[in-house]
Amino acid sequence: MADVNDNGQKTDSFLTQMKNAVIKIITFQKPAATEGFILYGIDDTPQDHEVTGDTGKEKKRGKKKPLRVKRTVPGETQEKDVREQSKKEYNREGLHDYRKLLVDPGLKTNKRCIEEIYSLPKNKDIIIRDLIISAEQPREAFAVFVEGISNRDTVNEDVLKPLMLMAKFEKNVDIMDMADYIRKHVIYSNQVDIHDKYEDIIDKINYGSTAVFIDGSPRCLVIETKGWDRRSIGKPETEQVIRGPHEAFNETLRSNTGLLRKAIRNPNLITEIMKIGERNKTDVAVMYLEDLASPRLVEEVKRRIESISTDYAGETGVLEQFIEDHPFRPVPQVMVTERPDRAASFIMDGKVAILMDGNPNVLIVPTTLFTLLHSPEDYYLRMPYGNVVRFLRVVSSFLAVMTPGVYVAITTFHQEMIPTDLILAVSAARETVPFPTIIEVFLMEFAFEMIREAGVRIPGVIGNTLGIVGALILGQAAVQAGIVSPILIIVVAITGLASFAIPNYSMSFAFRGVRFIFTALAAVFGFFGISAGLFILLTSITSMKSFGVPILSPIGPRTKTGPDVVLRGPVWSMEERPDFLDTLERRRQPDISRGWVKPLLNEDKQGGNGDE
Amino acid sequence: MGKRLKTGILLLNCFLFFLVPGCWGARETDGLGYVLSMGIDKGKENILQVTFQIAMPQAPGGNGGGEKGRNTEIVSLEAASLFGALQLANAFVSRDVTLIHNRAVIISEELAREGMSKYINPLIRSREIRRNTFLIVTRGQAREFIEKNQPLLEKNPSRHFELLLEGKHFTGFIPDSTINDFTEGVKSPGKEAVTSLAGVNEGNKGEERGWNVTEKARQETAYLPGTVPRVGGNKIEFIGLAVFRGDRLVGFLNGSQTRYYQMAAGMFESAVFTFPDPRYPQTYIISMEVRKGRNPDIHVDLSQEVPRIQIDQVLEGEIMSIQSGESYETGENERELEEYIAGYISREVTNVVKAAQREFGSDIFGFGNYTRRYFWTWEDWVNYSWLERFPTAEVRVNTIVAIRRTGLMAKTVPIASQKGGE
Amino acid sequence: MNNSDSNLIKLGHSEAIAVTMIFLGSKAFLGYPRMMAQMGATAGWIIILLSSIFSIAFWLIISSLLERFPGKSILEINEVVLGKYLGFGLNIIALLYIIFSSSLLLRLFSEAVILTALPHVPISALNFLFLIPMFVAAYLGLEAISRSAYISLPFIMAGTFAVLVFLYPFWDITELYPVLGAGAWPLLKYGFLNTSAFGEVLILAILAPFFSFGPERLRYAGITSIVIVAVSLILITVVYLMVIPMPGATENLVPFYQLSRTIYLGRYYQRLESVFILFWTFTAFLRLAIGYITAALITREIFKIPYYRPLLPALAVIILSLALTPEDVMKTVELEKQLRLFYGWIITFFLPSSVGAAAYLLKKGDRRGKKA
Repeated sequence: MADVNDNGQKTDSFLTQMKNAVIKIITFQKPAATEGFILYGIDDTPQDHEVTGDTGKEKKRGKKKPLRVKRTVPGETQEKDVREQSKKEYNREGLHDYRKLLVDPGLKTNKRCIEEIYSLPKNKDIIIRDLIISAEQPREAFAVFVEGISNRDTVNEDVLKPLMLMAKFEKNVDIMDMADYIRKHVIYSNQVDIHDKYEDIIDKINYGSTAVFIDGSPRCLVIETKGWDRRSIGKPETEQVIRGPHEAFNETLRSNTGLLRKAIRNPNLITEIMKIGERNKTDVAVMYLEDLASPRLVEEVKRRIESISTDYAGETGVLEQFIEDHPFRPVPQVMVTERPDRAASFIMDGKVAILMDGNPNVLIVPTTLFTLLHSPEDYYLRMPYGNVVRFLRVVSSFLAVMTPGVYVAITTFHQEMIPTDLILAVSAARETVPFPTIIEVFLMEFAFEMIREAGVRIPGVIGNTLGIVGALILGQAAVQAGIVSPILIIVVAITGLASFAIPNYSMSFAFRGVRFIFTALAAVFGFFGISAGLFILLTSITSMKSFGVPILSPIGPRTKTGPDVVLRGPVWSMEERPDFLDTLERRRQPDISRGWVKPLLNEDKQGGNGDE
Repeated sequence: MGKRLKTGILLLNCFLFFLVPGCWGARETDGLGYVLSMGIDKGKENILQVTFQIAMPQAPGGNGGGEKGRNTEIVSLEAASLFGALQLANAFVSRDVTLIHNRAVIISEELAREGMSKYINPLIRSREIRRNTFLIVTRGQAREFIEKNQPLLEKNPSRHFELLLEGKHFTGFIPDSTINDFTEGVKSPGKEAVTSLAGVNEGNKGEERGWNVTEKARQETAYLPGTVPRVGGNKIEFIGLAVFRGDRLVGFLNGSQTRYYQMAAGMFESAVFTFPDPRYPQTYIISMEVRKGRNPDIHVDLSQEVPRIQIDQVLEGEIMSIQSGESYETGENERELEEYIAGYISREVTNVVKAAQREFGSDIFGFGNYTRRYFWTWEDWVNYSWLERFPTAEVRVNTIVAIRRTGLMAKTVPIASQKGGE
Repeated sequence: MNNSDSNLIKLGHSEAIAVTMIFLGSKAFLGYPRMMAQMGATAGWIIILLSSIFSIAFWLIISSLLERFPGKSILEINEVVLGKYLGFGLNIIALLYIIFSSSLLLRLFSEAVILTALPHVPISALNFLFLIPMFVAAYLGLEAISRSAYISLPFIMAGTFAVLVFLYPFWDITELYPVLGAGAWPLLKYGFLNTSAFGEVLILAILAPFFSFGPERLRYAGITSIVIVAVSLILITVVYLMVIPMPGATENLVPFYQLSRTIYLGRYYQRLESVFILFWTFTAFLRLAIGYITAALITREIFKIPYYRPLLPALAVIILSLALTPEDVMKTVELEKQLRLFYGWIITFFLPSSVGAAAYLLKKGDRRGKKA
């Protein structure tokens, strides 16, 4: 029974609808063809002749070659190289390759070039401002800048205003010298350059400058108008000290170099700026003292940085991985710091600082293992206090690495080492525990590490509290449930606390990783395993170099150094710079650096200014 | 070989690491049964009856203090050898019985008289037994000793032994007696071995003996274990030493003699002595804490036919009690006291050495070591056979006692109501 | 990694001394004090004194040979002085000696570890396990090993002397008499034969091109190492004889372990020997790694191969199989005693000295060149 609805179409009756619905539910429906997006795969399979050549032998051995699935859009022919195709589309009339372009005297040509390079009007970040330079003979011009990284006020005040309002020209200026004239007489911004290659101009526009193209001039003015929202100089997030400055680097290269300049007011402090990254061209600044740092060291640093060819290197962490000597060893070979005071003291030692735009971590090369375990506060405190802290840190380092391993070794292999009282207590506590010691240890260690990681991501106050409370409660609950023995909780807690005493973030990872390895070795071979692990660790560390400096100097190869290796001497006895840096000048201070302790010669003892 | 296969094999190897521990000697702490003390007796059915005192684990701080139950399990078995007994014990003790925390080896008198050399060998050779384990000879059965040993103040029997045996530093009742000392003594051509003597005291109320004060003062510590007149406390006691000749037990020295032995052997440190008062030997006594002043000078002179042994010692004293009230603290009196005590001690030491010579014929004092200087080579010295010549040697002891301190009192003022009278 | 290794690696004075000291001194942790007690009774330490004097005398001869050819190793000198074939033969003997002694020591150390720390591990597994850190260290190079030796040496010496000092309550000087122990003539005889205990000082001659200093300082380095090691060995033997006196001293298989077990400073400081296991296994690793890499370097030198790293696996197999050859502990001990006592001094001292004499007679090399 067919009905007709309002549109004149046939509609089914109720029963037929029900029937259709039931059929629809219980049978398979072919899915409607929708438009979907498939990422084109790249054809990577080996050439045809190889495949046929091998399949004969392959079949004999019964091995299967891994098949690579080729995805194709249904209906279209397969493109051999999709990348090539997309590139072809992308390449419009070769103008994208702007590196070889020169500024054209014609204004319209320049404007068109800019529009094409930046894909205007799609790209809304780039602003083209047409203007007329108010001279006796008004000239057309336009300014190009990127919104967001250029300071609006500076562009208005220092570029547009002088050009449009205050251009005072003397009679006729030759069009060829026009740009130069404007630069010298009209625009009063503090950094103005003249360029004629698009390469330079585009790079500068990308970093916040404004380019002014003048009609008829084959040269272009580029004015520095950088300015963007940035985090102000804040407190160091990872390297906090009680006694010492609380400034930290922030994400802007220029602020950071400024902070270092402020600390070292020496004309010999050189900042060399290079770019790395093909597509993003981040600025990397290398800072060093020219009369101090070994020239070969500086050469090597620059060589390594300049030879990096990659697409994107955005963070000093990535840069560090590119330039380090041993990427697979546990100990880091560059020092990372967030504090300008620390970076400055390293530069004053003859080391080289590498700063990068966009992040506050500064790399210092070369470094030694001992420097990695120092904290800046050691120097700001008086010698006895500094040494107490250092000593504590040495003990913590050992504890952080060895404690679980030693515990496992003793309780499974060397039970004779524990006093009888303790062993009876331990074995009583282990009555209820279903796991062997090694599994217990790994469980608790793992739990602790998880809590630690979780604490990093939870915001604010909750994070810290959760860490401590979580660990305690977890431990207590585990003991009550009889899963772990109470002594183990103490061991894990001591290890965790000790590992927090390591000042350097990368080093703490090194310690954590090495600790697991030691525990595993101890579980299998007892003290012998620990000894073997120590030996391998020691030899691998002594064979590491950080930019040509062996990482265990001044103890590895014995070199002359001041009293500042593990414990430190008083400030006035650190007379020489570390030998391994090969600095141009070795002496920091003369033998007697406190002038007031010099014995007075030929002084009348008449009481005078008080007693000695 | 593809990368995946390699990674797979590597991961499998790493995983195997964790399976290995069970196979190569890793043992969990709660899989071991710790023997705290071991006793060796003569066996009936087999050669030895070995007693093990195995610790029962107590939870830390928890329920251990509540009921004063036993925290050790004592098992005895008969076997042909020590390690055979250890193995056999595993037939009924659930954990792997191990001797690594064994603190004392107790040997019965009977067995020691037969000769110890058989049992020393496993004690030294085995890795599980440490050489500073105490070696004790007990009067009676070792098993009885271990069973009757109920430490009152400690939960842990091994600690109890350690603390008890540390008493030698300030009482002088027992000598150094570890397996190390014993083997040294047994194997050395210059001295003979001794061990501490122990025994079980079932409570001894003491008897009327009819001694006068002098004798009572002398007899104060001259007991063998098991006979000390006391009631209460742990039933076992350590006092006196066992004298060995070669590897056989030949006799005992009581507590008082052991102190003088310590002086002659040069290991005396301090002890509290009770002497009869020099002026009133029948009525009053003097207590003094005597300490070593200097290491004793021992000379052995081999130039004559019989070896002459000369012992010179300097002792310091601190007066602890003067019953008679005489002012021995100062002047002539002090010297009189010093000489009296020096003579007393010298006599006693000589008596002990003579006893060792006559009754036991064994140089337990180690004088032989002082004869080494007369020889150039080891063989010559060994051939001299000091140990056989010792019983014929002459001994002279010279003691100097210097009273250094007198406690808190500078002099004794007589009691008022008795002024002028007795 | 290539022949220019000798241009790149330059070890300093302290590192050379550290390497030699560990190469010489690690035997103190094995049965050495017992052997001194066996040979010299209570005067075992006199044997050490005598052999150190003899070895210093030999070393002076060898180092004067080295002075004639500054910067060259003894292997090259052998070839120069004695001609290609004889020199090659001599070098092969030296190589075999180092391989044999390293494998014997490997076996002895593993036996010692099994005895003291890991009773149930099979010997082959433990030998193999010893080999892994050795291999890693040798792969990483001579610099890494020598620096590690330099760094760990103070700790090892501190640990050893701590054991000796902690035993103070047990010292008994009377046990050291009679002074001449076994007698003057046996002492002299064993003193001379035992010179080969210090024969490993030859390593300085073998590694001469890797050092950054010249032959005069080399001589000084050799003398210093011999003296310090001799003093340490004497102290260890003396304390051993005092604490575990004759004749029981001749019984202990691993004397140092017994010594560390005897420590009893009171109720709480008594069971510390496992800590000392750490120290002397570390020494074992160092000693074996040094021996291993020296063998590889010698092979590279003799057969004129440009690299030494590919030789490492092969050498590992050789050393491992040699180590597993003796059937039990006592046979190994006997073998080591025989090898060292009777052949050691010939190979390590006598032969180079005769080469020195030959060089002098044949007037090869500069005569006493630099005396700066």
